[in-house]
Amino acid sequence: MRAAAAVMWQRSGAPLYRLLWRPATLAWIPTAAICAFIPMVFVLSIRLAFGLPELELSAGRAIQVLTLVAMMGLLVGQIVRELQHCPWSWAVPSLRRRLLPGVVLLGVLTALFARETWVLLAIPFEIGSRNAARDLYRFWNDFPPLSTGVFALYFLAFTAAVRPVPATIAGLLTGVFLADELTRAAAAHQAVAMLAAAVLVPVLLYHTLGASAARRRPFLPTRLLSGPVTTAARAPAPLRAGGGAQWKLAQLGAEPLDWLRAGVFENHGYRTSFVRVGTVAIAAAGLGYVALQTLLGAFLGATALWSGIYANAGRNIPDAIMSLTIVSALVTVPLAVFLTGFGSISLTRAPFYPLSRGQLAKIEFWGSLAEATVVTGLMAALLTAFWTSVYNEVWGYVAFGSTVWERLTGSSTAWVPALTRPLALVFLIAPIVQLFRLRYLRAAAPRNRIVVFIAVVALTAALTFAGLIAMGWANVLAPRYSLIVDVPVFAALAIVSQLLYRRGVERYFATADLI
Amino acid sequence: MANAFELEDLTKKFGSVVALDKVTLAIPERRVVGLIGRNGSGKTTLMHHVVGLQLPTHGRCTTLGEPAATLGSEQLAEIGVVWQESRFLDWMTVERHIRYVASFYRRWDREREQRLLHELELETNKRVGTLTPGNAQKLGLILAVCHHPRLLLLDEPMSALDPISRRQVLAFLLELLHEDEVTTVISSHVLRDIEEIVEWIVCLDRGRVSVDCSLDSLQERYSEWVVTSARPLARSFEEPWILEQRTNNHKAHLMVRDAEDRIESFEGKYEVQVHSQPLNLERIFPLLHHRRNP
Amino acid sequence: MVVVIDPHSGVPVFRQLRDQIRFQIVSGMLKPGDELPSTRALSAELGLNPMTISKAYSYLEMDGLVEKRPGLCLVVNELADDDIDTRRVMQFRHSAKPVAAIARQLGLSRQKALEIFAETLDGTDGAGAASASEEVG
Repeated sequence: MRAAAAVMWQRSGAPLYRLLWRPATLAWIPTAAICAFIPMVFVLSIRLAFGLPELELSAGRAIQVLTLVAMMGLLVGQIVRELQHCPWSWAVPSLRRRLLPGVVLLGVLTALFARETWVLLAIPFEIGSRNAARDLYRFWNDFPPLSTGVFALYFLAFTAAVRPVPATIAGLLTGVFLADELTRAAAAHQAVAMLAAAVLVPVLLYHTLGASAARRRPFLPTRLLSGPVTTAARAPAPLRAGGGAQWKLAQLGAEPLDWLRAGVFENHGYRTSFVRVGTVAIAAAGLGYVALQTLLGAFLGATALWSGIYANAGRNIPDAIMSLTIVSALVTVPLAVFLTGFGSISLTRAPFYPLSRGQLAKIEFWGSLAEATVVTGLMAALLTAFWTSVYNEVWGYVAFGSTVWERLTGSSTAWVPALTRPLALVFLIAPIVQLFRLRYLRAAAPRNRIVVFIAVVALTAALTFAGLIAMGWANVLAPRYSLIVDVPVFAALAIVSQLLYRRGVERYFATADLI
Repeated sequence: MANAFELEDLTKKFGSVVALDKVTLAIPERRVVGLIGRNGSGKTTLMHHVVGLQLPTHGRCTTLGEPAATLGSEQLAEIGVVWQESRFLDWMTVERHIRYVASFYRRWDREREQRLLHELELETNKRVGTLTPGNAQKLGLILAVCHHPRLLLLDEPMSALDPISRRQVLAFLLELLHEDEVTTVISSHVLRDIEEIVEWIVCLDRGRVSVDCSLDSLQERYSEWVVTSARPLARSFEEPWILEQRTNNHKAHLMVRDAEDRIESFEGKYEVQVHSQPLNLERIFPLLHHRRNP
Repeated sequence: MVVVIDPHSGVPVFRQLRDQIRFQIVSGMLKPGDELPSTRALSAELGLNPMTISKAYSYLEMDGLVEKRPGLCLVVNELADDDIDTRRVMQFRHSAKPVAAIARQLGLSRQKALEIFAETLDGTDGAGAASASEEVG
């Protein structure tokens, strides 16, 4: 018995352990976990605090469950790919065969968990009179193997080397955003929904079992599949031939502005970078949304702190919370992601610059200021786009949020702070993120990127959270909103934060090792 | 002649690891220095301090007349460096990378650049991230020399080059000496190569300077004695200026230091015959790290 | 002027150069008035550091074998006859030392050693290659 257990461990347990004990897992597990628990934590916490059983637990939550499954599939697929491309993985005998049981196990577990979550959360809603769609839906609910099987298939589909990964996450999280709306639309236009399902299933099957997909899923034994199986491409190849843009300036002087252009060029000189940055921004926005929504929902559900504050609001509290979280998450967490990973315009310090340390400090400071301004501007544009375009249709929450502000402050322009305060928060938080980046990501011995990245996101979320609470209390203490007070306060805070940042940057460049 | 750079009592600690230990060194201009030492002896750290990229824990470094920590852009524009670990912007092509770095400097010698590209056979439309280590070193060299630096620091510049390319680079460095009168510091494990071109040796041993003299005097100080005798030889010889010895019954190989005028007395004392042979840098190197060194 | 330098032999390069040029001057291969190559030309030809070349040249100058003319290459000095003779003797004495040491080690008598040497000089040492291969160097 023991021998058999030992053999089983060696065959599948150990590879499974190795599968998960990767640096990549540190980043992905929180993400997947957040997706997994959002429906439950949010709903349950609101229920606990406000006892609102009639809160609609629609099939939208079910779509969020599906996202969980996809994220897990993506996670596992990425980890397996990383293992396959480790420098000496070719020396491990039958690596593919060893990984298969672990993957299968994870797939089954995920599907089962998804099925149970579905049952817990997804109350079948009435979709009209008896018809084929309704019957199908009933059948789906009442016959576990079918739904479990579909989840498992979905999982398997996503273990393929789906590229580009940020865009995929962006797509999945958009599904989370619009889950409720999608189900409503499906209920309203059943024929279209059926057609979509009819198209989706074969596509899924193709991606799961087709020969080309097999190439991207190297843990499947070759015997199962037809066609030649070659290993997936060794190195990611997002850069197309051509080498990107030309550097136009003939000679850089000591002007900081010129060197800012150099910084932009170094980071974004190749053509695909803006696409990459854009998709990451969207993914980050989605991530921020789900993360903060959960955080705030859990916090408020647990403490019911604001029920007193909003006592005179007399409406659905969760909607008010949602409006603030949407707005804030859309602006601050993407900031962290943007600045630490993809939106930098500071000099990479790879070549040997004929710049003194003092000059480097100056360039870093002005570059950061430019970055903060640009990011704030981008977020302002994004917010305005959301606000104006989907205001009436879908984002009733946001509309409601403005009503709450109005009630609180008794002013008709009260929607302004809902927009401007989060943006101000972005601008004020940015230097902290940038200083963190300078000290830990660009340092002479950079710490593990993933760890720093997570720390920055957590820090930003925490600061945003604190800022929101502060704003809430400020409204309580000084309910009469006045723009005239906000502007000088913000200006003073901005100047102070920039001055402190400048000192921090100068001290860093005066004392740190740069290589 | 002014000093290209000076280190005074320079100590650098990384946590508890002492990378450089009270290093005092002064290199006058136009000297060609070979910086040698075992792995981890602090050669790269020393070079980082000279250009001000790392700051010392104690002590000072002055480069081109300025403290290294506050080197201005004028001085930095007269320094060229080739690092052991190449640091480039991987997404650029070779051509574009050169154009980009060329824009940092006021004078950039395009002729020299073209000549080097041609001689070293470096293709300009390849992406830097896909270059082999040898080609990356060639690129590093081009980027370092085309702006006519006064001080050139080369950290293992030829370790990945094939013998033909090494010859070409050495010949080019010689030319550079003539044309630019540049102070050169080469750190390399390929002692054969640097032996041809350097005139001064600085050896680092666990962060300390163990040798700071000309190559000629080093070669004159160290030699190998082949000791033969008709009678069986003593087990080992106890003289303090013998650094290493290998003895069998009738023949001994001794590595000696500062022993030129001791041959006759040695022959007389032990009734042996001594034949003294010179040692090249490769064979002197282990003796520099001998236990008996101060 | 032809010199052969081995930078990896362990013998300082400047010394190799100095010794070879000195030999050529003393033996008459380089005549008085001949110009030595410039530091730069020689360094390029041999692939060596020009500082080493100038060091060798300055030693030769100190020795009195060459003369430095402002702005021009070094030129071989005209040496007095007895000066040349002295130098030739010194050169040969220097080369003879190792041979004498070998003779001592082999235990040859003075007379025998001189006899052999005389034969070698005349070229009548006979038994050519065979005996040469038996010699211990």
